[in-house]
Amino acid sequence: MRPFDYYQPESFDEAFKLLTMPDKVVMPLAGSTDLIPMVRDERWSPDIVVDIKELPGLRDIKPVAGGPGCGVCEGECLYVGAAVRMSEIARSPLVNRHWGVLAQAAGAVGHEQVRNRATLGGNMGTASPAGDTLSALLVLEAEVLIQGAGGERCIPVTKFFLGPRKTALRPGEIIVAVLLPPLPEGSAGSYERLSRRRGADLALVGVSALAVPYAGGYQWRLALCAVAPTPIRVPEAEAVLSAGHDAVSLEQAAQLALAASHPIDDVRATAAYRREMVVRLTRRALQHVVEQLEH
Amino acid sequence: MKGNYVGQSLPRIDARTKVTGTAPYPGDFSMEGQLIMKVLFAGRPHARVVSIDTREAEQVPGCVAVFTAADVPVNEYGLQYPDQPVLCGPGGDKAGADIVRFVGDQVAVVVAETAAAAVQARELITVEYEDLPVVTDPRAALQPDAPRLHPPYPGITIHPELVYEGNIVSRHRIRRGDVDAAWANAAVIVETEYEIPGQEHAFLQPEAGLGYIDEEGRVTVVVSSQWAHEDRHEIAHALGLEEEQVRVIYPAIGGAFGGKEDMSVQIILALAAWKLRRPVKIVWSREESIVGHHKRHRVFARARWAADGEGQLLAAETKIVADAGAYTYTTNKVLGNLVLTVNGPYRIPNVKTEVLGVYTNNIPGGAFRGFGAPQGNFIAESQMNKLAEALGLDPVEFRLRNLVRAGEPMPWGKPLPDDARGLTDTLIAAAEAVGWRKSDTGWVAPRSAARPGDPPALQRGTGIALGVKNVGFSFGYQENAWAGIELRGDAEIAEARVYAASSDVGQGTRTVIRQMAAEALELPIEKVHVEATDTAITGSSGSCSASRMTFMIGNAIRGAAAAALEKWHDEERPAQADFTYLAPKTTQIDPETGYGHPNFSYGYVAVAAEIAVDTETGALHFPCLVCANDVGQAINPRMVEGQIEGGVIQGLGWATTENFIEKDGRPLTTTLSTYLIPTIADIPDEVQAIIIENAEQHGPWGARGMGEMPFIPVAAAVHHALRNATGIWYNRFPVTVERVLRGLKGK
Ligand SMILES: Cc1cc2nc3c(=O)[nH]c(=O)nc-3n(C[C@H](O)[C@H](O)[C@H](O)COP(=O)(O)OP(=O)(O)OC[C@H]3O[C@@H](n4cnc5c(N)ncnc54)[C@H](O)[C@@H]3O)c2cc1C
Repeated sequence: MRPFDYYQPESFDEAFKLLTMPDKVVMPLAGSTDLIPMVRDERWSPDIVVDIKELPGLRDIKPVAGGPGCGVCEGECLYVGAAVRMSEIARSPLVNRHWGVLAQAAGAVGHEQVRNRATLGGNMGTASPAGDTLSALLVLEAEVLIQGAGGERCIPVTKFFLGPRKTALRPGEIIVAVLLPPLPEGSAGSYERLSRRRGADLALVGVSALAVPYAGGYQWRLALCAVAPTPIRVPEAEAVLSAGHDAVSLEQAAQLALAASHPIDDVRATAAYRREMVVRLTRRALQHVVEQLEH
Repeated sequence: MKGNYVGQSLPRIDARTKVTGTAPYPGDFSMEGQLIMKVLFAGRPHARVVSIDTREAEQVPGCVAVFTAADVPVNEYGLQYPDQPVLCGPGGDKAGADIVRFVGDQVAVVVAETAAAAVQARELITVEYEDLPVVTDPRAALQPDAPRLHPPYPGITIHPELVYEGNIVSRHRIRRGDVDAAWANAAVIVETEYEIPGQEHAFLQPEAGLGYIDEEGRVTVVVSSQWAHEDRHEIAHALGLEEEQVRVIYPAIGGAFGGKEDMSVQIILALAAWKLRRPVKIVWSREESIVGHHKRHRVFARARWAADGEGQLLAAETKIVADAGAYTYTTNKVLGNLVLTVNGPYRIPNVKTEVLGVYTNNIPGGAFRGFGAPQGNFIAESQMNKLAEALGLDPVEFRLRNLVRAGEPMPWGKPLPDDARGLTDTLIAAAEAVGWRKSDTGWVAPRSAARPGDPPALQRGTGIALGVKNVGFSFGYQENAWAGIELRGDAEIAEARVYAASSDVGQGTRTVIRQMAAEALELPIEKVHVEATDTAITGSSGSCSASRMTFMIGNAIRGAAAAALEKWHDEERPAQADFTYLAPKTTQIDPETGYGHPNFSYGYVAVAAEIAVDTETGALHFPCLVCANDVGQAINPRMVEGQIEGGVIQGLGWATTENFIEKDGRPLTTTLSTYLIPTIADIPDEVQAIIIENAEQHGPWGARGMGEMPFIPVAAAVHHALRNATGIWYNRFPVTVERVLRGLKGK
């Protein structure tokens, strides 16, 4: 494996000095569950890696009043630091309070050993189309808090994923946290995913569904991963569901999810199988939400 | 029987070092001044190596040497027949050694001061290839116009089944009665085509080793494989040395499962160390390991079996084409076991079996836990389950009616060497554990009802299969194993040192050796030390395969212990003795009829499976797998359970998620993220290990072999359960989620 220099700064200043070193390939590092395999397989060749886990605030999960970055979050948002590990997210009572779909997605990543290292920021930084937490972040309409040498900015997660392994991060920037906007009491979400094996296998299809009480009915949100170059929202399906969820609209939404997907053929599965699974998993995710709403 | 040590679940002697991470595996050994070796693999399935230019590579700073075919004194290797070049390329005098026949053929090895220099130099080797036509389906390789992969066979018969006609490596036949006359009397006939997959061993520790010249001038390799003395033999042969000039040492071994029977790094390490007179180290990556060692044989079969209205088997006709891949490896022996298992342990008056092993440009087929029996068993047991269904008989009942009774001949004309009570015992134990009940009219299968909370898409089923496999080397080979014991002390024995060239691949052989030695010597176990496996200090105890280590070494230890105790009583100090145990004789089987007495001992095993199928996604879940195994005598019951659990889960992987994909001779699943072995999240909710102990007359303390047995019936039991859950016979596996769904859709 190609060697690299490793630093673990404790301040942002120090971190950004490293992250902006000229003429060097510098990469942030969190749990390293993507980075090390990529370096080993000679697909990434950093000269320097900057471990961001000890930076202030990166491992926090905390309620915050109003979005510190964008101000979009009115009321109480949940701040989830970029270096929080999947196992912590999955078990966090705070995350599970309203944003359980993210906890479910985090709990679906890899297996216990992976989840004990893998971080939310790393999942986003890798920006794999199959990243489990990504569709959950989409339906939660998360905000991404980003910091670089030039300062802080905040963008909606819908603008964050640009393509397979491509994000809106500029050179030298890191994700500090995501902000999860508040959800009214009575919201319900579900993450469904399918893989060829239960443990440690990338999703063939992942579906996040969320219903938010709105004007006497529900506003629905639906997002998919592993079926397009980036995780996608399916607004057509959401519109149908938000107009009233019954057996017919659930079915329609599942078909609209299929229409929005462009899965590929590879050694893991054929596109035809993946397409079929989009329909069935969407149906399941929606049904699970409906079951919760009816309780 | 429970002795002081035999029958006791003592902790493994290597438990602490393995759990704490200090057990020394081959890759952990380093020496002052060592060099690093890298292999240049062919990376293409079939080509003539026109030329190899190493000049640029040799210029890389730190590159010490590049070895090619011309550097190998006797450039051939093969456990059964030396049809594989150690290094492929021009420059030697061996016909056909300039051809690469699969992607993992080794073309050159680079030895350098650092890994980086070795990698850089490897990239600068220029190989000119002339690609040759590729054949990857063994059925296509049988056609007269198929490319021929090897030069004509010189015609010396080594084993009668090794025929080398065109691309046919081996042929086995059984002919008994007259199948063609039997069909007319049949009440039911079941005819099926099966496609049985290969399998990657996926042992934890990829191939690695250290080669050096020892203090007595021997070229020495520290490696992890399965038969130290055979490694020594193969190395000596290729290097043109006497065996005494070669030494092989086995430290801790991170799994093997048959995948380390053939040579990987042994010969090249020895070659480099011998030529350079410096220590040389190699560690393969997972990808190199998956490309570089053989796989379980892929098998294509057509089976036509018949039974009469009373539920008695009438005839079995089975034709099998197995993918031997690029070289012979142990194909003829693997398929010898396939031919003995493909008709099951049943009374069948008319049998016609043909098994062909055929060369292709795929990764070679070779040894893998079960050694041909899993493929044979899948065919036989699937046919049995189908026949039972066609007859409207319970599958347990149907088997009990047809099992050979003590003294009745097997399809090869001779009876099993014992009363084979284990067949009935294991079958009933496994069946009862999942809910089979005996009624007045015979055995009744459990009903697979939905359980509270089951979603509508979930369907449940239960299945069963029975298995048999030989223990020990067979087909006329005089099976043997060596052990030595040295007793030290004065008036009392202070210490016993036990010597045996075992290969502890993780199954715990060294622990069992210690228990058996303490029992035989009637010594407190603390006084018994098991010496290292090192050809410099031990005779050959044979291969770690064929479920034979406990059986064979146990008998050798008993002999050595008795002899050493006698010397001790004669006042010899230290009292030293060794003993070579010779197992009962066997014979080859007749090439035309299969008639013979191929084995001296067998193990018996049954597996019952409970399955839950998500009919919307094809995902499978296993609430319970039961394995009942007649082990004769469990020397260490907890380790037997470990073997059962591991074997059953490995069998489950073969049946379900392990999909080894090769396209045009190129493997596409060369990582453990694309080739999926079961993880802890994929194993059954419960694996029930039922140990049955019908003493084996020749076994040490009654033990019979068991390491392979639990694997064998898993695939057939799983398929039976899947059938009962879905109504579909999947005659092709692995039953991946996608394949399950396709089947449910009738495609
Ligand atoms: C066995 C195994 C199984 C896996 N299974 C799954 C699975 O089921 N689902 C799934 O989604 N993923 C899976 N993964 C992938 C991986 O675990 C996840 O993507 C994980 O979330 C990555 O997090 P990390 O902290 O380990 O990232 P790292 O490897 O440390 O970093 C990944 C990338 O993100 C960048 N990065 C990290 N933190 C930041 C930050 N704060 N700001 C900006 N960039 C950052 C890094 O520079 C790098 O490019 C698996 C990996 C393994 C090894």
